[in-house]
Amino acid sequence: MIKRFSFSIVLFCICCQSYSQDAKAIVRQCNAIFANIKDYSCTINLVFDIPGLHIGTINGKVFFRKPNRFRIRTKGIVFLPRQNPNQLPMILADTVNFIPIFIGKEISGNQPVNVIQMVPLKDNDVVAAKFYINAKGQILKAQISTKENGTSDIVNEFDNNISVKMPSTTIISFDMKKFKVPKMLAVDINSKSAKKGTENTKTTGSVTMKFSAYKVNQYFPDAVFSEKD
Amino acid sequence: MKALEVNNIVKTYQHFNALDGLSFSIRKGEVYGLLGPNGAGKSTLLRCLLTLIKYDSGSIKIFDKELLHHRKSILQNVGYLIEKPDFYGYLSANKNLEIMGAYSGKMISAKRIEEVIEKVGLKGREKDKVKTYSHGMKQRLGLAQVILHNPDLIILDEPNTGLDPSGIVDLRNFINQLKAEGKTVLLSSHVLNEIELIADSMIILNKGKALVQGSVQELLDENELHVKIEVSNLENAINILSNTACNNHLRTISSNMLELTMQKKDIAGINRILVEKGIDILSLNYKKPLEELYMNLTKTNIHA
Amino acid sequence: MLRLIKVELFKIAARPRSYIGILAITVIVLLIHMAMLADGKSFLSFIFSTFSQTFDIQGNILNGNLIAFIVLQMLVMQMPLLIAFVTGDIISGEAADGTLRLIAGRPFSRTRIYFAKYTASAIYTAILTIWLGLMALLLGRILFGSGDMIVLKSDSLTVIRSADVLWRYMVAFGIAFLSLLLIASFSFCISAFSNNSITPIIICMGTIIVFTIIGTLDIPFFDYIKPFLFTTHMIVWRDMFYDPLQWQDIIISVSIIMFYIILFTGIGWYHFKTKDILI
Repeated sequence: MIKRFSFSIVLFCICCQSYSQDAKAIVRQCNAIFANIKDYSCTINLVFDIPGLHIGTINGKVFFRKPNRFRIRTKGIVFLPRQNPNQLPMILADTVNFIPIFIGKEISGNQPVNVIQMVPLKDNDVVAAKFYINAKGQILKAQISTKENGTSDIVNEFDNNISVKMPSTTIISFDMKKFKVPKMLAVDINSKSAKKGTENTKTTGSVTMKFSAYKVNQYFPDAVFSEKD
Repeated sequence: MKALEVNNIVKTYQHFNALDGLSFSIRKGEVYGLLGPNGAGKSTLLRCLLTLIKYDSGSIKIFDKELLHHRKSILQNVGYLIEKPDFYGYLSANKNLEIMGAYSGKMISAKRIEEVIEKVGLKGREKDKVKTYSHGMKQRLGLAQVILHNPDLIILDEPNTGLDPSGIVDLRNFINQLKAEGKTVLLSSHVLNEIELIADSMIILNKGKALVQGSVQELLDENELHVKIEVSNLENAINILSNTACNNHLRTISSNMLELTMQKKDIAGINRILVEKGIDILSLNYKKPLEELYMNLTKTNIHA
Repeated sequence: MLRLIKVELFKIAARPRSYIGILAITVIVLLIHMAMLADGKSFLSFIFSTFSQTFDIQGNILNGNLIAFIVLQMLVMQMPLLIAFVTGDIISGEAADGTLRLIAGRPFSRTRIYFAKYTASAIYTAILTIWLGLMALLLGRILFGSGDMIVLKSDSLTVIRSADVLWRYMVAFGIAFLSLLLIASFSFCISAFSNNSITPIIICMGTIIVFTIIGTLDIPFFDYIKPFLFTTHMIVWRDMFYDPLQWQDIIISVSIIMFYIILFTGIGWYHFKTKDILI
């Protein structure tokens, strides 16, 4: 009995260590993609599907510079989810504050993926982060839970034709809180069409970001992060 | 040619006949007086002539044209001042006349405006806002807008109201001048003296009907003067007068007043007879002919 | 007729009360702009506080297009009063002053006089609307810049791209002009019945207030009445800022507004044409 129990403990530790080593290896593979990217810029096309928010498609430019400067510049008003698509590789690369745990394998988008849980070691805004990484080290999907912004799902699509190994499309989905507008500013106050239409029962919204024309490690001034649009 | 013909005109307000089958006519070029107590229908008649009020039946012709069928061409030839002279107080006299000129349907030049301003004695004040004018000045401006477009028929409704004696004289002269120019004037007034002085013909209305109408001279017969004499001794006075031609027209009114019907030219003679016979004349008066006629016909008290 | 219209416009322009509307719009809009300059950002952060929890809002939200909309919303009740103040007095004021009898006995028919006055009222209404547009939109854009426009509904928010904003405003102002012309027609109609200046203004504003109150009450009985109240349709200019546009609603409301304009104008005309002028 004790022998069996001891054997199980040893087997568990070996498994854990092998899982831990697997998780680290997978994360290392992911980080290698971003290791050589100091900064990049690209064109972005934003499509909004958010209940209660009617925003048309908008084009803009994305700028990123390590370690964590990220900005989407557009002409016009945009409602950007607080979740930053670059947050994913940043979490993966943050070995000080997070430890990767291999959860298992799944199939996502007809591809086998490794599921990695990044567990925060210290008190962090990110309370949980789950990554779905394919064999090429590409993050196909992630679920990030933060204290401030709740849980959001991030899905990446990769276009094999793009020379850089960056996603061509990122879809961020998140929970929507109900919002209220001061009556006097509501355009439909006392309007006969106010009660028309189906009530929006959706509680999740999404923003689809399509990236193109990546320019990796090509100089742009720091001012782009602070200039007014 | 008749300037105005009113035939059997009726205007009813609910159950009250403001005009009740009224008919009369005015010859071209004459001054026609319109008299009657308050509520007789004078204002209603004038407003009907100007289509301010729609009459229920009858017809009105002005210069031989039916009013309702030729309203535009008729009213281009009519100038009027109804009730008090009201204007756009926030505008000057010049501007008011420009506006009235626009409404007249004729092209009125600045020169013409200047002319009428001068004619009515407002030169020097034409640029002042009308709200700063006295009543007399507004009346003058009223007359200016009446003649501005050189109409042939002029309708004046109690133009003497609020005028001082010199204003009344000016108005009389103004009307006489219009008459001299061949204009036809329809003048509604409570000032019987003025009608007597300037009107050629007249009509007295009461309760929407004509009581009497015709030439002023014909209507005012001075043979019918009723003279009231207050004497110190009534009995003696009666005895003296019984021997005169006035005997048949003598009646006692009170303990010291008697009334005689006589011609005006005989008043001085009667006065002399009584005084010579020792009768003191305490007072002697008679009603003016038109006033007498008016009072007899309307049986109301008026203040001339 | 043109001559008469010029005369009526001259009379309107010569009266001090005609400038009260222009002055009021100028002062109110300037005050709103000043308030927005001073405190606009914190005002907006209050409004968007719920959104800010989920989104990072980028772009110039506090721009002239949004400010213009806020200005128009705030002036919804005041504009009819400013219009009625002048148009409600055009006939009744002359009746009270005695000048109506001075002009009604002139060669021009009552119909011509009525429509000359009505046309002048409509032009005044247009001038006030254009002035409102210039003050709200043009001045707003000069002070706050242009950009996308955020439109808040009671349960949603729409962002209209800047290229899409101006034409919507032009049409909205066109519809607003028709709404104000409805008020002008209504007060003008009452003016034809009245012999004093105040009555048309009081009746007009009283009617608007009562109809607006009925429009806001959520009582099922009133739901049958609301479609027939002209105040229900007067605010349809706001529908120009819906996305997608509900053209059918807009067209129906504009048609109803036109119907009321014709109705009130017709009633006023008929009464003015046939009434006895006794004062």
